[in-house]
Amino acid sequence: MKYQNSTPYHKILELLESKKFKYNRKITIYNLYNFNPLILNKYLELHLKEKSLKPKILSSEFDQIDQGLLSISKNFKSKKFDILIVGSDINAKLSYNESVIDEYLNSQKNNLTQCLKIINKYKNLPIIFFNCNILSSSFFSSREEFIKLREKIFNFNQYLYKLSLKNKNFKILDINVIGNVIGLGSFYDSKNYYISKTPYSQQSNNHISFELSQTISSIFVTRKKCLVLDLDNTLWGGVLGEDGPNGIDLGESYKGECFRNFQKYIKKLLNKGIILAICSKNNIQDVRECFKKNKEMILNFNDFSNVQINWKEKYLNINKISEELNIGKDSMVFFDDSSFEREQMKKFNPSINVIETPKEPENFIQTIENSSFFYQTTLTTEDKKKKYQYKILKKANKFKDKTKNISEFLKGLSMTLEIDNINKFNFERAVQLTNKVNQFNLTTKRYSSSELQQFLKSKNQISLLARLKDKFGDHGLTALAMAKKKNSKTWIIDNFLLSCRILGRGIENALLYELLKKLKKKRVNIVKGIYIKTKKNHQCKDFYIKNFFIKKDKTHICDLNKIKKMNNSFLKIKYE
Amino acid sequence: MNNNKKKLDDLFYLIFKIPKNKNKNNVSYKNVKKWDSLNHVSLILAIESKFSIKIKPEASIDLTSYKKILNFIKNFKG
Repeated sequence: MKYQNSTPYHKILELLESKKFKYNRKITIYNLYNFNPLILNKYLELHLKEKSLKPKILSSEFDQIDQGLLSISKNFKSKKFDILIVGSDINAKLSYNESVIDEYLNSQKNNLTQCLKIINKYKNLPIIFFNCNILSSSFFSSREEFIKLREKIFNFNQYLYKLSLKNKNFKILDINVIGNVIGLGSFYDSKNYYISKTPYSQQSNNHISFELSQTISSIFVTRKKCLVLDLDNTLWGGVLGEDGPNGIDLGESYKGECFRNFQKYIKKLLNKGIILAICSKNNIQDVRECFKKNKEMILNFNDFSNVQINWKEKYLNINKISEELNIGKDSMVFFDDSSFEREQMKKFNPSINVIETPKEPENFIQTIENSSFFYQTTLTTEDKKKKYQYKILKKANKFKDKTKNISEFLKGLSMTLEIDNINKFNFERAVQLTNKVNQFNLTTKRYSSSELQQFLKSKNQISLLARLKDKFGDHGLTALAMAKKKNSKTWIIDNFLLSCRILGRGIENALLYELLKKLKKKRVNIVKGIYIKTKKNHQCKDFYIKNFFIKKDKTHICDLNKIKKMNNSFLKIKYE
Repeated sequence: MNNNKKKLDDLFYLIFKIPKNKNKNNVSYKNVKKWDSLNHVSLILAIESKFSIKIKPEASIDLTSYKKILNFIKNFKG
């Protein structure tokens, strides 16, 4: 975390009033604090809106955390909200000694127990819990006393941290890190406390709410898939065409070190599963040579899954990247030092996410972090394999160009589809798929972990997750089908989707057939399939009609007694 | 002075939704429903940040009407 300049309070009010926000999702937040959260919530509102979340923030009366938690755990249904924040700051008490701190830690432990109970009872509820601030020593008479208390607090925080590792719905807001960034001296503002029962300074309110918004958006917003980078003055300093592969600024100089660190950061994103691409006005031979010859280069040319290096307009080149990688434009992020290119992109290709790149390379990393485009708290194993998967996809595409027709291509791939129920090993990936896939997605129903858990609890459901392998390698878990019972004879397909990477291989038809076969075994007669139109899923509009279903009113109906055997000679089906 | 008035009108609009060009000579916490203790805090903090001044807690308690606030800002000596 890095120190951010804080926006003054009246500016926050003005921005909330005047700025136009685009919203992806509404969320209701319930918060319990031992201080007055009025100012904090204003900042939080702004940070969330900037992340396309439209918040409704409900506060209980402050300093009533224990009662608040008790009433939630007794009667959750009457309180409808998506996330709970529990923030108890010891310094809200202002004066303390050992007994005050013991009392505080005990009450925190009770709060914690209640929170865990609530998470156990209502599996779908994420909770953000403030950890305990290490105190400033000025309040204590002796150094021994201070050290003893600090250890108690430290142990409690470690305990919280371990809990959060075990329980993914339990998130920690690390107030200590924020305190360190700002400095304890400016972290609290005792005047604010006396007039408003808010212990924090303006900067702290800004930082804390920003961190809260990061955590909240990691739960409710799906991250972007692809980072498209410029080269000159973005991945290195200077202009390659003029300075040559060893003349560019990368490595030992002040600026050079900034760029090298930036490359290290990009490499980290790559390892987290972000797809990288280059969009640059340069000579491709020069670029290849530069990646080969410059010893300071952290990234390899091969780290980029798609490369558009030519003298065409970038807003056109980026369309090519999107098509060739089969990644929707709104999942792409453009990072370029030239404000001209950024403005052009915004104007002519408005669905691309454009980061306002700062002038100084030392601020690049922080700017990408602040955008939260790639922020994620959990990594699935699929994420780590992303780069490999796009590689084998490239090989398959090359193979496709060599074959004469589509059936020769499909046969030549020797594909296997491994189908499994959604279980605890593939669960995270299933959640991720429902949230990420846009194009081949019949209903575009997004599931949070808890919602999916809820779905899987029912006995009257079938949930399948499929892995595709071909002669080039393992494409990973890429197709999902979920159906549930509607009445004694009819089932409905709740979710059906396919990652766009593996489109055009007939996988979707095979998976649908397998699902219908399973339903037939359960003696189901009628299956309903719905297509819910979105801006992006046009291509699966006729999916059901092409496969066993007939259109009836607004849905599609399949009579299982009438389905014929499907010929899948090009694809092996395997059940796990 | 006019500039102060304009800035303050902005804040009264943002916090209490009182139209910017409305005459506020008689506006006080007594006749504005939204002017409760919480919004009072919001108002004081917004005044501090908008006018770049620091208001002492004891002074802030007294700032209960539009007129009083405008006078306070005019005579503010830090």
